[in-house]
Amino acid sequence: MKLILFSFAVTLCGIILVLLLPLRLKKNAALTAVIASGILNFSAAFTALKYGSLELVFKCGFPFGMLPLRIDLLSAFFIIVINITLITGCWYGFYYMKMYTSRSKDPIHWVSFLVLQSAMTAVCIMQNIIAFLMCWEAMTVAAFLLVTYEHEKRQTLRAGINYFIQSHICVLLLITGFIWVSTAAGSFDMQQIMNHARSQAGAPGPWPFIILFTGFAFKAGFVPLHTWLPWAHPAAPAHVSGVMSGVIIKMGIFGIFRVIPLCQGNMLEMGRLILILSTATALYGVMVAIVQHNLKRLLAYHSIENIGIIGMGIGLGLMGTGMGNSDIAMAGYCGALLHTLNHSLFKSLLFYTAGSVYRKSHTVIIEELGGIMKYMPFTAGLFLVPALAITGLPPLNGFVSEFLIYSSMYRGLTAGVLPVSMLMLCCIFGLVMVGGLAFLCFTKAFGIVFLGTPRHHLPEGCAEVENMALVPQVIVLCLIVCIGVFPAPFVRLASMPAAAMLNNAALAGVQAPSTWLMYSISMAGILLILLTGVILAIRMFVIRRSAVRQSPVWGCGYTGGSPKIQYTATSFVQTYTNIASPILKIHSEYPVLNGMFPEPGSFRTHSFDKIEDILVDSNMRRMGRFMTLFGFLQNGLIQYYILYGVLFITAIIAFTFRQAIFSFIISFLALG
Amino acid sequence: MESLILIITASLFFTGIIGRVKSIAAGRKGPDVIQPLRDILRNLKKAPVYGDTTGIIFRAAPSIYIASLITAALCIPLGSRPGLISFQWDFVFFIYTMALGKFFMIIAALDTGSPFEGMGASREALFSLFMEPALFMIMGSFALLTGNSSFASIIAGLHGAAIPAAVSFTISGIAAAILMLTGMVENSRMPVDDPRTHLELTMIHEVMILDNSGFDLGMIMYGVCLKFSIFGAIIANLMIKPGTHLVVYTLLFLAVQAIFAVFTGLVESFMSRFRMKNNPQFIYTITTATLLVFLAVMHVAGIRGKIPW
Amino acid sequence: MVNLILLIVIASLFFLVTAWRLVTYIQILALQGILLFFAAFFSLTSMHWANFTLILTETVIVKAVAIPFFLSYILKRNNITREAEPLVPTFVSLVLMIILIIMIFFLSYASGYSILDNLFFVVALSTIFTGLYIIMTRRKIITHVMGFLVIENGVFILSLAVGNEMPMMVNMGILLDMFAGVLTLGIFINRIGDVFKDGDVSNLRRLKD
Repeated sequence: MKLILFSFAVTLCGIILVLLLPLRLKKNAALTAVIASGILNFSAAFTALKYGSLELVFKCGFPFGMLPLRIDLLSAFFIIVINITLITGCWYGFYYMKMYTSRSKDPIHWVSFLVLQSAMTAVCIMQNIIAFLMCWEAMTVAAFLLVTYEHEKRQTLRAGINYFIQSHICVLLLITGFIWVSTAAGSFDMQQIMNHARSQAGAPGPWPFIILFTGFAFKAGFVPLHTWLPWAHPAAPAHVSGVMSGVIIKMGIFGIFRVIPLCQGNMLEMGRLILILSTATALYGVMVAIVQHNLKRLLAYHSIENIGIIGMGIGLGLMGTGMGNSDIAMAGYCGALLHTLNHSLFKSLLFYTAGSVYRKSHTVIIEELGGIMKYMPFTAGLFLVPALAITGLPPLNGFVSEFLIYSSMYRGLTAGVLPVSMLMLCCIFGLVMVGGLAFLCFTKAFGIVFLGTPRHHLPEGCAEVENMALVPQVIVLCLIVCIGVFPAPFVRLASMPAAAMLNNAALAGVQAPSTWLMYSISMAGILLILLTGVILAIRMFVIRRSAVRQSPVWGCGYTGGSPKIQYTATSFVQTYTNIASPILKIHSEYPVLNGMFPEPGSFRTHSFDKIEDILVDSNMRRMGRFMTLFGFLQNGLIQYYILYGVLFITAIIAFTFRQAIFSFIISFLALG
Repeated sequence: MESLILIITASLFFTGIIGRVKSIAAGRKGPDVIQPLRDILRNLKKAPVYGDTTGIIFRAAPSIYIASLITAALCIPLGSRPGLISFQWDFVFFIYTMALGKFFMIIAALDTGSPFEGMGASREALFSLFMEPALFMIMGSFALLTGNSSFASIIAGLHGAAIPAAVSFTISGIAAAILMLTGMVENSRMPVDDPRTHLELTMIHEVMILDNSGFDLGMIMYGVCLKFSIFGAIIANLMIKPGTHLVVYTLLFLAVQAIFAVFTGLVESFMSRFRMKNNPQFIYTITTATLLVFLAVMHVAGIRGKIPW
Repeated sequence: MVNLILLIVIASLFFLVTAWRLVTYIQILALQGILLFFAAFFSLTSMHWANFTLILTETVIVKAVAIPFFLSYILKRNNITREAEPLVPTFVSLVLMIILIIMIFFLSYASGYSILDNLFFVVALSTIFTGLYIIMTRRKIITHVMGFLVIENGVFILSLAVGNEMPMMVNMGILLDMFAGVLTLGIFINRIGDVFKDGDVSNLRRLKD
């Protein structure tokens, strides 16, 4: 337990060093601090996993009262998830920031990074509601500062402020929910609140959980509360996007896991609700992701989709608990937790590689890229593997967590209750469609960006990034492959918090997903890889002696080859766009050409988020129109403002003495 | 392991039977049944020619495709004998492994930088999107019916004693019909695609492999046969009672595969291709037809009182 | 005696509202200072003698001498003599002032609080509102400052009403005085007049969002 406090101390030293050291060394100090406190956090988390939960209680006065710091199994798991991505993010950012020539904003960037690490770790371990909310707030502010690094660009600043505002709506809901349950339970300590909720089943009702869930859903990015996500991720620098997508939105998931005991007694209904919402989130996220032409925005929408998948796992777990079926619940929670880890790994790696591409080619628009693989082969490989993983293909880690969720859904299907079976069928269908759509999306993303020939002229220095920048990416890659090929220890790791949650919910017969199953998946994955190796070897043997030739593509039929004949990303998904057009909102602009002779023409499409348009933009426009009616009040003349003050004072005085005034006027009129 | 041998055996003749049926239906004698095999062997010996724009993905993808298909074939049981890869809910692994192969084929097609391959790739990606739920839902329905979870145990329990033969064969029959159509769509045959023409308007799979040659092309051509055979194997598993003697089973298996091939050939000869615009609807219809299977299972299970309403 | 002084203060307000020349404003402020001196002298009877002396000296020195001196210095320096056309015609101002004072009178009568000596309350509130009114309807910045000084006088009168029980209130009133004096001193000795030439407030309108 003391290790966590040491890690906070290390972070604090890191902050001071970053502020004091000369500009050149600031990054090094930050990186060292992040790695050091990351290692300390890991040790603390592993200790907690080995021995059960750790606890340290401080006695503070106002306003906390008792301040317990507890690392239970759930916190330990999330601390591990957080620190992996933070370390790799900081390391990658060390090299990524070389892209920016102006260094004046660096100190605040690195300080925010360190604060983010401490705040997130603290969020995981704080068990006092007020301290939890304060650390949450610190995390939000640090994330905002990180996102708006390029604040001279108006779009970035708007995205950052959008994020900030929505985070505060989230905090508002959290405060409301937490105050409700803490006054009901009479204490600020989370464990006591949960015990209270468990003991009197149904006493708090479903509403505190719904309010808290909505608050955390803002942070996690469930639809329709996701509108900040596709703006914030492209606006941030690449390593910050990776960290945000990898861990900051997982804090929302962590919060949901924390408040699950609150819905004791309503588990089945809440589970159903969350399952339906998550399926919709996943489908919507991936459907809109396909039509994006900004690579980072595409990845941001995929984060929404994966949060949907994690939510499906949570919903399944809740339903399993509600139905008393421990297999469904265990597989659901386990799949959700494992997918949290997996998603943080492969999504952060995708963002890092997208950042490398941006760094070297100065653009993230898919339509302008192409053939990057010839210039940056390692980066292409580092994009391919997480792209396979995110689609859920074996033998990588995405497959394992999706497999767990599938097994949970199939168990629910065969569980024997009709409404549940129908729901499960729809959700299986949804998840399969999500997988297929992600398949479409990532073939497009990888194929158009990295393969073929460049569609626009690439800048001069477009070569591979330096080797040291590849190292953190390779580490993540190894983890991805490792979890995919040897899932057993990781599934066991994920099953520990799940089992703890199910035991707390008094479910019988809880056991981790069978290790034999995981070994079988391992075997199958290894078999696949071996078979591929064998066939490649055979091929190399056969071709070795033949004369391999190179020739232009379609050389016999087309002699004027240019990069423009390739498929563009928009055309790749054209049929899909036509089919899915009710859900998408795409504006195309093109000038009308008339006359017989060729004129310059252009065609531009831009896709908007329909839910954002309906929920946020049109309401903001209405509010703006309403408020302009009152514009005359703000006319700039100082005399009017003083007049407003005088009117206010008069009103206050009149209000205070209203009884007397009324009686006086009445008597006055009665006299006259 | 036995199932792999049988599948490979059947795949050698599958495309040949289709070709022969089509020729006979058109009034010609047609090529030999093993002619496609000769084509494949010839291609395997040739030296490959690679395009200028292609990279390592283009060279490696066909091998990965074949490897994924073989791994998928290892999942399929033979009656009550499980395949080499058998665990709970392994049909998920089966479908996603085939998707892995498809992924690499699609990106290899995009690697060439040619519009034809791009067209084929985009169509392939879209149609596989609509096709995937079919097998998931069928296996899910059967899992519900039999109460088991892995491929092998579902098949073993399907025609077992617990379910009356009429019921199980009816449901299997519907599922088999759907699977035949699925197999045809997956392999880009009529009525979705016309493998005879080499015009870009009609192609999905053929156009993706325009630039492959030599060993790679041979492997891909064999992959087509193998895929057909895999689907035939699943159909055979559904239709044949698991407990039968091995020799009888083998003969019935080959017979089912042959029937599948003949059916495919006949459909190809007598149906014209749908407009490319209508293909997504057609494929989606097939997928939702699997709902029929599910409803049938629900109905049956309800009657037998297994599901409390 | 105190009541008479307070009534003279109200009369001075009427002159204030109808004044045109800036010198008149300063003269009336000085007059109010002296009147407040006498008011303090007669009303704060049961106060500690040191405090009392302090208040009296402050009233005379700051209100009646120092601030009018600063203001006239500024006027001479910046060559301001006349106030520009006020936003509301003089006659209307006068009528509004009278209505205001009558309403305040009725308000104090109706509220019936006996803690506050009624006349003090009425005069104080009238003075405050007159100061606000001057700020609202005049254009020059220097007149706004004078309006603020009038408000200040009003606060001082109100503090006199409770001065015997709460001497700290009176001291607060004096601090406010000091503050206004230093503010005037600081801003105007720093030659804001040189930069901000015509001193018309309407230019500030361009600062609007």
